[in-house]
Amino acid sequence: MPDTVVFEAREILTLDRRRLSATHVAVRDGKILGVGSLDDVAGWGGYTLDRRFRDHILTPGFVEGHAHMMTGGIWRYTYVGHMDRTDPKGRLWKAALSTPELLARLSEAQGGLGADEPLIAWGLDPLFLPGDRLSRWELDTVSSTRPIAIFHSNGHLLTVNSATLAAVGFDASAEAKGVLKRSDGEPNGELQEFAAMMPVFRKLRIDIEGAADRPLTHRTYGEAARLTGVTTIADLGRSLADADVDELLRFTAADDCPIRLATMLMAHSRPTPELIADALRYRALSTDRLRLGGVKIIADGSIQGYTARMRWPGYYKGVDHGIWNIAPAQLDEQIDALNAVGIQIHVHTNGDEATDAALDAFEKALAKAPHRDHRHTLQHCQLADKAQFRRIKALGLCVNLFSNHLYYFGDKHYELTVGPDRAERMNAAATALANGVPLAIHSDTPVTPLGPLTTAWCAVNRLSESGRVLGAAERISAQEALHAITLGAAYTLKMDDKVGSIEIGKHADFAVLEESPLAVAPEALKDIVVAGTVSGGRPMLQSTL
Amino acid sequence: MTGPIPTTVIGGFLGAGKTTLVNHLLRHAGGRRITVLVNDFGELAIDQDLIEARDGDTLSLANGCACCSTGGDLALALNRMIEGENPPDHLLIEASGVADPDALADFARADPGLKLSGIVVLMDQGDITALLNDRRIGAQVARQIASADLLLLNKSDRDAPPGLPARLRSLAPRAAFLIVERAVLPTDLVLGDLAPRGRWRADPVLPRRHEDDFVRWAYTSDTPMPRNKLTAALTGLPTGLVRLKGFVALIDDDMVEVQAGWDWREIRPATSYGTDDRTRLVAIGLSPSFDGTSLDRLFSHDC
Repeated sequence: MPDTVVFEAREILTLDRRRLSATHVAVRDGKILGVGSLDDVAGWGGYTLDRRFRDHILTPGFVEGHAHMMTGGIWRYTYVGHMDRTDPKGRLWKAALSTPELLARLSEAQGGLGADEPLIAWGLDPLFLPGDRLSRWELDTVSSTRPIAIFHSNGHLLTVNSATLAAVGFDASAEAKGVLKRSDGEPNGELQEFAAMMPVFRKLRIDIEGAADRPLTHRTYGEAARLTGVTTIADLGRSLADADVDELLRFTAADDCPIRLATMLMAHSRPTPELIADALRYRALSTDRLRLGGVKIIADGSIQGYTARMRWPGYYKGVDHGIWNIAPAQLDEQIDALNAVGIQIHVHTNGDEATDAALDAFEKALAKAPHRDHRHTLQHCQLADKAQFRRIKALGLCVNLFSNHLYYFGDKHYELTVGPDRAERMNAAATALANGVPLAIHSDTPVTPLGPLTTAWCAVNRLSESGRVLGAAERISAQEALHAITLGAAYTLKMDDKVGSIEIGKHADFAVLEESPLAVAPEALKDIVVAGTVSGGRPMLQSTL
Repeated sequence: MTGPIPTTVIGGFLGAGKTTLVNHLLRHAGGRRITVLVNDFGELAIDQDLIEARDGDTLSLANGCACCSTGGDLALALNRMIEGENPPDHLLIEASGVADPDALADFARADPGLKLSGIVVLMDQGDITALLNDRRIGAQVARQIASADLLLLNKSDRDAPPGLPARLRSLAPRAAFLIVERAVLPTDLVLGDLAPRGRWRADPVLPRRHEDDFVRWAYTSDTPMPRNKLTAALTGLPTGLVRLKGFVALIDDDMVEVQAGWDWREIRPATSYGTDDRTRLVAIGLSPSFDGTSLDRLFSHDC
């Protein structure tokens, strides 16, 4: 007789409409054997009753459908952002709200470093630091000899001290456009874009991706997920080599692995024929804990960076630097080629013109090869209007909206990038649902912090950081948001048959919460404490690091 | 430790002829060991007869050159090359069809291991007008053109619309501008130092089918010349001149650096002529109007 464990909880939110609420779930072989009352599930034979969750709420383990493995690497460096954040070890990093606070944080971090180690930090956004813009000269007060480098939160800028500039040889004669200068011609310590940042990466051996120690990076990623109730997480866009796949297989096969991973291949990593061959080859290697075979295409840039492709009337204030990362004609060809062989495609489109280009490409490709269950998905899709959602529905596409933007960048969108009208329709979750479009919502961690309950809070409340309501008409209910962060996201990853709800036959993956997302006030969703997860029937309540 | 690697960025939209040019340069490397980093997700379309060996993303050529796909990560590929055992004599970065060549050039400007020689942007005469007028990608193509030091318009079967040269000139006022056929032009012209920007200007010249149509001229003399003789020589340069540069020793005066192109001439005090104080000049031009004998006559003043 196989072992059966029956978990008792204060309430189990199943997301199965036949029995939305239950108190007991029986687990055998890591899968759900039955859900209901103790009587309902006791009939399967002998069991052990586990009452550790009797004061907790169980929901389906959260599914984060757009996230990046870099989250597992970045916390090796000091966080200096303007919002509180919790690292994968559960340590709370308080916000640095002023330049003196930031410098104090750096000085403190310096204490833990060896004599020759550079000091690397991340999360800086100078717009949120009152006073003069942070420059090399302030950082020199922390150390004039130790190289210091701070990543900005947008990932496109680095602020460094004089020791770092000297180490890479940037002085008044530097010609690179990315080496920003003061009026007297001296570099001010800001390095813009990858070209100017790369010499620093190499000289200081900065490894923001955590590539040097993949096993640790993977475990840290898993832990970041576990802490926020996530049991299935995307790794959305990697230029995978076979060795990387081996490492992912090893990681996910480990007994204490807390997550299921959906890793997608970055389309621009190889020529299309190789891309197709590798996607199909990797797909065949998929396991219960590692889903491979999808492909991610990046169509345009970002709205806050003014590099998203916008339709008329374009950006509200500021200069349009819209870029295609793939020409529309190439997008047509690539989507056609991938769709023809049944490979699932996720396309990053931020601006509404990029969304149009993706829709055109899918329309043509699907007319030729109409896979009924393709699950092609538009990622971000932040500015889609109603007509575009109707096309999305007609083409059978899914959307994974970037709801966290409403809070983290919403004020900038309202005031600067897209203006009031379009800020209010950004990440239009209610319109998606009204049109019957399969909906997920995401954090894009590390762009914004991982935490599906916070993402749900964003979609339900649509509050910006300053407290402005951005489009009350696009708010969705807590029930709808809970669906979007579980079954909805699982659907976009083609994993809804295995995870996303608490139903017989599915993996026993649960989020363990202190409060019910359906019982608290909508504005309190993000404050619900996550006690841990259950993954494949194993309670994961302690750090796995 | 050798010096920084001279780096040329080759940009232009899809179908502009970038790969044709790269193949031409590899075939006529002239003893240089060139490494090409292809920052695109297309296949490495190097002529089969040039390839000696293939190892993953890297093709080795019989003449010591190599071609490598960046897999979308230019920084990683550059790191590998700069820190590698055997740095090439020249680096070519082949941009993707949508890339901003200037952003790629910034890698060469910023990295102490690289030195930017210039940005070459190609266009195809047959579709460049339609691309520039395209609502979606016109601005991106115009940005590519604006970043050029050397603009190459590939001739095609279709005639260029009237006004095209003027339109391109206005988009890239500082660039040298040549009309070519199947990207045929001298390797040393493309890989040479295209800076200082805004100095090398040439009006479009007729397309040439063969590299043989380009004439090279080199001149060395131990005898200093009078300044008025130099001025007269520069005034009389033949019409086929594409570029001339070098150092001239003057009588009773300091060494000067001389540069010239189709429609411009420049003389300035030489700052970096080393220990060799002889007159040294090199030039490239198009036959038949450009020929070495007439240049010899212009500059020689012994008789």
